[in-house]
Amino acid sequence: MVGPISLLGYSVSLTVVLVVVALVIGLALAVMFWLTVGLSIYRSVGTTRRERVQDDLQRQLLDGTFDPEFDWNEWVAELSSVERRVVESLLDEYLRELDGENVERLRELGDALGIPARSQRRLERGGEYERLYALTWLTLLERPDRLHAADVEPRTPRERAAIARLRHESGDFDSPTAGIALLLEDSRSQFTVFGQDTLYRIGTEAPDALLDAAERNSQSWSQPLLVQVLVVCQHLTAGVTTADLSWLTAALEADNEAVREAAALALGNVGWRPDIRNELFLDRHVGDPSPRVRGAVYRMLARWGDEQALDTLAGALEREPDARARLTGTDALVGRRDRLPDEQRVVLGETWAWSREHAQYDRLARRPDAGVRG
Amino acid sequence: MPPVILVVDDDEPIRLLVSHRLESAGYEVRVCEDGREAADLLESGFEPALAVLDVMMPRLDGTRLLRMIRNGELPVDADLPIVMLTSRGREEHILEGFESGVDDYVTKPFRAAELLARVRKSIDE
Repeated sequence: MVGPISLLGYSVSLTVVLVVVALVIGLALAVMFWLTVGLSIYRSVGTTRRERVQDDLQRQLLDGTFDPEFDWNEWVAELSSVERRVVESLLDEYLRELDGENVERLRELGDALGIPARSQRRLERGGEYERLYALTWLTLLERPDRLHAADVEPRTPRERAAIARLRHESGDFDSPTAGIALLLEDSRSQFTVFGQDTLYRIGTEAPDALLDAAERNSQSWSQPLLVQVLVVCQHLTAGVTTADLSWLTAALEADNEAVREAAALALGNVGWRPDIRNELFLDRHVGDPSPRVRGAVYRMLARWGDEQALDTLAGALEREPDARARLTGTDALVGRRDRLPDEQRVVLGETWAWSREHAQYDRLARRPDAGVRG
Repeated sequence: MPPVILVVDDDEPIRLLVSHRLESAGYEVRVCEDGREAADLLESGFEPALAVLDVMMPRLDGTRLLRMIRNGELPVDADLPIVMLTSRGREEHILEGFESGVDDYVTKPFRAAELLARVRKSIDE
């Protein structure tokens, strides 16, 4: 037999304690069970009600979209709260798919539903999630006026990116340079994928502004943010001829190999300039201790494609000890040279043969008249 | 009988949108959710007057379906007019589409009137 135990100064039988504990656990389980059942029923009823009206509303919404005489205000006034939620969900989808006069009609529906005013209130009073939600709607509806009316400043990198996207998509920036400044001036930490995509969209329109901002601010950025900017630089398409790229060549000397790799690939895109591609510069970076970085440097040299760069690349590959880096290099080189001197071909051996065969097959597969199936 | 148009897209809003626009213009529309379903439908002898294809779809993508049609792998006219409707809007994507044998190319987000005009033009030609 187990005797009574002392609890908060009282002597209580162990049996009583066990019964009380069991009752508490049982009660908690019962509450959780009924809460789960109740929530499931509530959601199921909501889904059923939405599904019941969705097809009709969708048809009416499309009719209104393609009929300029259709009165959205009159239609919206007759909708129940469930129907309004369904229409807003459909509007969200169709705003992303349509363009031109169709999307203008949908934006008029957004006004009739009161979404811009509601978004402004969310911006003024909501937490981060609500503010991002509001910014998404204002972007879809292209209503930067509500952002200005709310007079909000971004509090997080996500909000900064969302505001930049709204103003960019709405044509609200005086120039893309203003968009770059909003995104990158005073930034320290990395963006989400959405933020990086926004930086790409604006940066590709103003490459000089992006490079200028990087030159002035890159020292204060975290390494992940620096890598994100470098990745965008890899995809700039407009010619960059005068920008100061010293920050970019300095990034090639960073301790972090991800930064060095991204810098090499960015230089491959924007760095074909005599002042940064002297022999010493090239020889130093093909000797990087990281195979991953050397692979990126090989791709940079192949992208430049001039004789000096390709000779440096071919020479470095002869000495390359890492199999993956060597293959990256030969894949890059074969896109520029389909022949090598005999001695180099012998040294590169099967790696060169492999890359060459793949390049030939790739070219063949891209020809629509080649009869390649699969 | 109105011309029958095959619409293949894995995105339901797009299927509904395109169907609604084409049906309003007097066409009959059959929809498929991916390239595999469309290939099976064409295998069964269905012969549309034109096909509107998305590119990126599960199971069988639009480019592969296009090549199957052009290569005569399906019992349908190899010269069937085909309009690509896709979010792959970069220049190389469009060139790749035309090289694969597509008749016209519309990028998302799109204008319904433009899609309709291109469909009409492809059918009339």
